[in-house]
Amino acid sequence: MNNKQFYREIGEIDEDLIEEARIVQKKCSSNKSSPNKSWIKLVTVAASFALIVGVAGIGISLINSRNNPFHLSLSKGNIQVYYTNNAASMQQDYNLVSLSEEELLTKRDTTIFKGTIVEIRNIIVNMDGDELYMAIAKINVSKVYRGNCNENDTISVLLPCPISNHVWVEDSGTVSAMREGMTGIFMPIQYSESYAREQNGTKLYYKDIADYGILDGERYAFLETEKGLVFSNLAYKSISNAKTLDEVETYIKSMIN
Amino acid sequence: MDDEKIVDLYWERSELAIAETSIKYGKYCRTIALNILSNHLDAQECENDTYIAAWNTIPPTRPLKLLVFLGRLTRNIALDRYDYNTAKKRNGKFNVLLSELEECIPSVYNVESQYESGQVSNVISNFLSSIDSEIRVMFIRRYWYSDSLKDISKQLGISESKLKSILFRTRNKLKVYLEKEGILYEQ
Repeated sequence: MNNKQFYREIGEIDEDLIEEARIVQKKCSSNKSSPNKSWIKLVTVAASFALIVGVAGIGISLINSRNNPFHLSLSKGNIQVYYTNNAASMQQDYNLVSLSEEELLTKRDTTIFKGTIVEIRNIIVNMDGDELYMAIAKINVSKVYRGNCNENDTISVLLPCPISNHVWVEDSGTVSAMREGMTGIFMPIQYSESYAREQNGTKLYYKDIADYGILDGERYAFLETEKGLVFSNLAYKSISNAKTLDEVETYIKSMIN
Repeated sequence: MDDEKIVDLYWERSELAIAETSIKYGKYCRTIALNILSNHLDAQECENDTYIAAWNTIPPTRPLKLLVFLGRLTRNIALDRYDYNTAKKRNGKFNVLLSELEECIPSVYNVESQYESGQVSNVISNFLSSIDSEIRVMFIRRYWYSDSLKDISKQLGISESKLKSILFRTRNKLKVYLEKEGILYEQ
């Protein structure tokens, strides 16, 4: 067997393994952090690999309110962040690294709290010409399970993709379902100066635009919606039939204590 | 369009199948081919050949994971092209990747055993399933997707030297695993 034959053998390995390693992201923000942070190694692998495929991007019509730039005190290079009024007709596609329930809840130092979304605004991050579409949710905290925030705090959380009825994001069903007024249990990471994204010779410190960030669009929130509880049933198989946030709360407490 | 619908188009013999495949997976296929061939024109041709191969094999094949199916086609087509190109000139980057894989292959192949199709890859899959998920991702990005060390290290936020070290140890472990499973052995 020579190396080319061996390379072909590797080509036939288990499809699930290949999918696990394939991370795709399109314009949806990658919450890339510094090398020293453990969370980059799993979920942010998803963001960090950032292999972009398959965006149709047909008919993107953005009406931007570019008169509201953020004050980026830490970020370096030619970066602008704007609120945008629309993010219509944009198709995005990315996959996630598989993680066990235990890994999702314990491997990264996420803050876990119950709260109500009081505002969601889409943003555009322009990193020297490359535009990323994300959103910032302001969430009023009502109960804290883990982390430094307090009840009645209103914190800003960076969402990895824009929120719109017209945006379809594969593997981002939970975040895509977020709407103002919705109550949920959220598990964001608290940004420090270690969390940054480098692109086109620029460096965006996420702390400049939000206090916290959701690591991916699927597995770090549980939402109470008109259509019932929205969360990743596949990621949390042991509570896949949960109907209420109370059930989720009981589950989370049992996992983190 | 979701994968199932695209596969349906192939089964219906609709040429839209190729158009939709191109929209969704064109860049993905091209990137894999480019990683192997380091030539944009060749990579483009491999991408087109992948569509033709998909058209010719679906039906009767009905891939459960279209992404993996297309990636495998691209890989094999690009490797054949690599063989063809090697006669003229080498792609140094991919040659480095192949030379890394030599470390997994002991000097003597177990000629006493006849391996059924997929047997070796099953053992490799078992090995990969047994190792840490982060290391597994690094290994597959390198040896399935053929990503460069530079790209992987940048994407994962680790140094290239650390990545090399991890891959080196993993290749050695794989070699030992293959020997243990009786697939390959040293005399």
